[in-house]
Amino acid sequence: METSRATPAEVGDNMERMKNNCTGMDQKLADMLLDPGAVPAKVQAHFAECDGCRQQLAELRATLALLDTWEAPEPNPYFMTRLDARLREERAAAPAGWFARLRARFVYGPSMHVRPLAAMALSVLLLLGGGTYLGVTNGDQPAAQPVQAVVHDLQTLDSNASSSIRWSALQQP
Amino acid sequence: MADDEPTVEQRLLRNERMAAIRTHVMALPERQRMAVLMHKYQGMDYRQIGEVLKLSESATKSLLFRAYQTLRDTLKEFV
Repeated sequence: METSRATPAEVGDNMERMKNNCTGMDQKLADMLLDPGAVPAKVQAHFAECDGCRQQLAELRATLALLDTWEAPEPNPYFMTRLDARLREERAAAPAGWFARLRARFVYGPSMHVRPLAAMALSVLLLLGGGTYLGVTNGDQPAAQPVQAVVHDLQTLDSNASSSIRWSALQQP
Repeated sequence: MADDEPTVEQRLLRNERMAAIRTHVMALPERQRMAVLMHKYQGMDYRQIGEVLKLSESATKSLLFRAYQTLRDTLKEFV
């Protein structure tokens, strides 16, 4: 096949310039391999003329061709048929009751999401239980008298005692 | 028996080649392996692969190129 090519003088210039630049051709090599349509003509000319770069590209293309010969094994067609049928059955099945859904959630679901709920429930139980216990054990004790009332009562008793002594003194002849 | 039927020896060689490809593709680093499988066997383009791997298109190409360079070296005897 005939392709348009640069003049020998241009090729000679390009080769001279690009031979010194082969070390930086990795990215261009990637583009030539993976997206050849987007590679500038100048770079393509380099690959056309540079034996080393051309050979590398040929080896990589041969590797891709080799990979094409391998096909990942397909799953057994009966497996897919059975899976599809099972999915259809599940979709068509009547929705389960709340107890069945709850049971399935605990039996088959991950248990991690239950832990915070369980911890919270336990905390509430402890608070309620502890509060009830304290309320029961302290219920038969009389309420504490306010300090001021006690002082007032003592002062009254003291005053009564003084009055009684004075009254006795007055009654004596 | 037809002439184009592969011989036992050819079948053995083919099986060996397939096993080697599988082994070396699966031995790639995870992201390179995923990129190769998506590119070669799922037929996804660079943009789609980049979306899956959270990479730009050029970074996806670089990742694939490194993978193919490795495979070129490891599968050299089968090329």
